[in-house]
Amino acid sequence: MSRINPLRLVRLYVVVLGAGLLLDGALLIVLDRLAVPMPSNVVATGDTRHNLLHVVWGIALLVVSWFARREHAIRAAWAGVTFGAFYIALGVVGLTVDRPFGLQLGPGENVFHFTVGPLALLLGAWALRSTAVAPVPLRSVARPVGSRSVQANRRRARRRPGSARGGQRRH
Amino acid sequence: MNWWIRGYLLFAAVQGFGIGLTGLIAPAEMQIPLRITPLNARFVAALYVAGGIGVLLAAVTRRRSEARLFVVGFSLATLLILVLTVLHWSDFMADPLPHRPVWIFDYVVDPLLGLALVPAMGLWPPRHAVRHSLTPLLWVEAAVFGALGLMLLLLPDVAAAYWPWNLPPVLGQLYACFILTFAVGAALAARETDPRAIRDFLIASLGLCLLALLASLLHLDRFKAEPITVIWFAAFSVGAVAFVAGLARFARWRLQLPAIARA
Repeated sequence: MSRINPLRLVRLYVVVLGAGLLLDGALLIVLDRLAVPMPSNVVATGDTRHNLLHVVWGIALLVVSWFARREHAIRAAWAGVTFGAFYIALGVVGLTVDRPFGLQLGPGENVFHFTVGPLALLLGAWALRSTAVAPVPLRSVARPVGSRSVQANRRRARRRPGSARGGQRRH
Repeated sequence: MNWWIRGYLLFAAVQGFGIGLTGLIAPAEMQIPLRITPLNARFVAALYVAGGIGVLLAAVTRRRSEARLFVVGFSLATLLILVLTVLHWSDFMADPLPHRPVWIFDYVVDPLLGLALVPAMGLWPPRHAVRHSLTPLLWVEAAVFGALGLMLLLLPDVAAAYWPWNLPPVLGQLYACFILTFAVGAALAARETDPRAIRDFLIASLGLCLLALLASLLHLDRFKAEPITVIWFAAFSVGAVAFVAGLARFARWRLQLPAIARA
């Protein structure tokens, strides 16, 4: 049985989510502009801010997933974590405040936010955990001179004797 | 340094300076739900700006090790504020209160991102502590702020009774979130292996002392005519002098390093 690759999974999730949000937001904006009658208890077409938010997130997720290939696959995990934290917070705001930021967040929207948000956060965190960075190495407070970078040593070597700052002055 | 860490710290700095500078300049407009007096607003603003200084300095560093202290600190502060908000929901989130959406949104997003960033990027404090010449000063700061923060958090009524001005207990607990974060930050800086992180933390601590003094001097008439007022001004003045001396010592110490190594 092949093991699931969490980075691939989170990238797939980010692509599907991005495409879905973009499609949903753009379609609802167009329907609203065309004044197409829709049952308000099914979809709230009139909430332009909310629709724009979906469009912006959709584009952002698709752009990140485009740049999250091969050795940069970790970017999809970070996008998932960021999206997840944002949408969980949006869900909490929607549950606790009436019309937060002018958004119409009803039960349907809150269920959606509390579904896609935690899922993105969990998948992103799982992918990050699978590629966790080692703790930063010890860097001594009393850093010895010898630990300078190669470039810094070259710059020091080029300095004129007796000059505090290196480099020949150009005339 | 990774741009996700930089982005997180810049987001933190925007929050710190946004809320803090508004509170310092126009206390009535500060973007927090609690309705508080101008002196309390300016003191909260001082705490926000001091934290903002630290995270901004960390955001422009080059290495992860220079920023880890501030990522841990900011995550801790926002987590404490989220817990406090949940425990005192009606004080922070009652219907007529302003700025509730921004407040709850920020304090859900910030700790969640911090909890993901710290383990994923290996931003834990160094396992092997290093004792440096500023360790004693930072341990004193950790002890003083730790005791004050715990008292404000666990015994808010007692703390309010001894506070040099009129302090609502819930607001005292909000102060505690910041003060405890500075205590933890000082304890981490006392054993920190990265010089720049230590310097940046000293600058943030100096900022806290100076801004607290500024906020206090602007509302001197609101202070109780009791010994605690003298202790308040003396403590922050001594703190400011100690952090300036610490920074001067730090600068001399860094300058001497090449000479020591050559010898």
